[in-house]
Amino acid sequence: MVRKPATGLPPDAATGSRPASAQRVRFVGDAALVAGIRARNPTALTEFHDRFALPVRRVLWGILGPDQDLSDLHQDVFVTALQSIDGLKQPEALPGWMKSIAVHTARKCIEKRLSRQRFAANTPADDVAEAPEVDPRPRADAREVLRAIHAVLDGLPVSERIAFALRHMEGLDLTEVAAVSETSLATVKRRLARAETEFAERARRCPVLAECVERGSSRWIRR
Amino acid sequence: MDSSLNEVVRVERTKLENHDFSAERARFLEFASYPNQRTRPRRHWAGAALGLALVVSLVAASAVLDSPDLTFAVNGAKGETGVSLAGSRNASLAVDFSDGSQLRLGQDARARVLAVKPAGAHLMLERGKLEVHVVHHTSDTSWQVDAGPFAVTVVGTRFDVSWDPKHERFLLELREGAVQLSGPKVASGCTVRSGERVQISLGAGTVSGSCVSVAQAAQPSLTAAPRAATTASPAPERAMPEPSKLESWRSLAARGERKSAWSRVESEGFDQVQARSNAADLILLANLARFSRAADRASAALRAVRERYPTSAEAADAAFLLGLVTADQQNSPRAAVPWFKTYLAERPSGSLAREAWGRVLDCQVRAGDHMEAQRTARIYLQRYPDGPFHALAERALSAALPASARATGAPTAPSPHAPPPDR
Repeated sequence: MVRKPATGLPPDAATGSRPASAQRVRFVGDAALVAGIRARNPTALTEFHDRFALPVRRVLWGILGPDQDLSDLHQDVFVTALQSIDGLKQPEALPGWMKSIAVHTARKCIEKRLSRQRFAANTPADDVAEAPEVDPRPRADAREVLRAIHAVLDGLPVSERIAFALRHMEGLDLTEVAAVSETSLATVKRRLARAETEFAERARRCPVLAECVERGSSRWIRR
Repeated sequence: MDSSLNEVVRVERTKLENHDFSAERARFLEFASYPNQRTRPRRHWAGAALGLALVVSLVAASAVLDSPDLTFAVNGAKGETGVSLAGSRNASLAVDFSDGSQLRLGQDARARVLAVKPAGAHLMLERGKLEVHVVHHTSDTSWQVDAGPFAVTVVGTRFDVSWDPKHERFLLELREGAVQLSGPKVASGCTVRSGERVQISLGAGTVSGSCVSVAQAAQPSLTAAPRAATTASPAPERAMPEPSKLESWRSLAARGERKSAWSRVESEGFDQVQARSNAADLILLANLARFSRAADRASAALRAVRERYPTSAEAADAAFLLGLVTADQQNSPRAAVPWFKTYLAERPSGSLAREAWGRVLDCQVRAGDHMEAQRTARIYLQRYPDGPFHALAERALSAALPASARATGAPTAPSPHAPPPDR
């Protein structure tokens, strides 16, 4: 079996950057990009990844938090998409399709961990995303709060957790949450209502989050 | 607590926008380079579901027409090709094939079964250790295990293979039988036999064991790995046929034929090629010069980028590359620091920012500038606690310093108004 080179142009080994001439070609429109992906065009594959890397990462991060497996899950999403691209009937649905795969991948990860009975919300300190260029004191507090949020979410049923994360962590509207979760709007609303009630109850019992909750963030509390 | 929950989430989510996805991109493109990735018909994500029944009928139809492919189970559950297999942090993962062959993924290892055949399978080891036991049944028995740029072809044997993508280290240990090995630094037609061991470190350029010829072992790595861990796996150098006399140096470089491309540049005249090149081509030209150990010419091409295209994206990249040339090929780490800081001043959130900070630290350590190194180490660990230079940063902070070199004051940050080094 002969392996094809990954791209038409070699990356710089030290920097990982690609000569700019490889970046001049653009696939105009989702239909052209999907066609390029199906043809395994190296430039299309690069553009595919670059276009959806951040949206995919945001969905995974929103559901799982600063998890140390995010890079592996990121790869799983793109591998799944590559293997399933022929099944995408409407190329214009590509953005939502990618988010759906990301949601599904996150769900499978959660379910696998639950089945192993090793699912732990709090991630080690070295897995949090890079620090901003500001005073580290708020950053340390923010990391603690973020871990606490995901610790609370760990206690929710998977579907409710996902609905809550997509709505409040990723900021999707209800229609988008329903679309990427592949469920009805009514079901999303029910899941979200239960999740918000449960989250508020659990947050009040969490010392780190209780102060935030008491300050009255109306997004998070059902009174 | 000063911020509400949603503000915390918003701030933390914003950090994702500064994440450097180059490693993820390289990893995905590596996977995409494998041919014959079967499209999985089991689910349509955006539309109507295909349904399990249709999948079963497709598999059944295939079985009627051909000999059945091997099947496999993962810890007892039915396995699927393409799906990632991962050992957990505390336990290995067992994969059992229908012909009696077995795999065992070590702790924190990750692999995929890319394809199965009636008498074999194609596996991909992404990282970690994989124990393989292939049962030889017929003369058609054929398995392949890919680990980074290495490929192990198996006909019936037991072996362990490990791949560390971060440090580009490959290890193959034969317990029974024999396998064929191919890849960088490996002699053609290499067969590794029971009891033998092959260890190759692409990053460090070291090899040990059978199947590595003296000539290949002595050949310097053409990928010019940095002193610390790389962030992307380099493409293996391959012997290429004599290029057409009509082919440009650019197209030769695009195919990875660096030697031929550099020969073409020299035959045309480096100065002439440089004079008519745009920013992107100058970067390409500089990289060819770097890999050909022509540091002065690399430097000239990169300076030309900054002089002729000062506001281009390539100008900042050229600053970074000038740092590499100055530090590694001209062996002047102290003089390289201002170039890396120039990149950081021009592109503080650029894709090379993490590498640039690491390089600043590395150069300061090499130059013996302990105070500066400690300041840089603190910044690096704050920003990139898991970065490839984190071990160096921790050593810099824990190293005992003479009293005169004790660190004081705020960390040094590159000034956006600092002029570039005058060379």
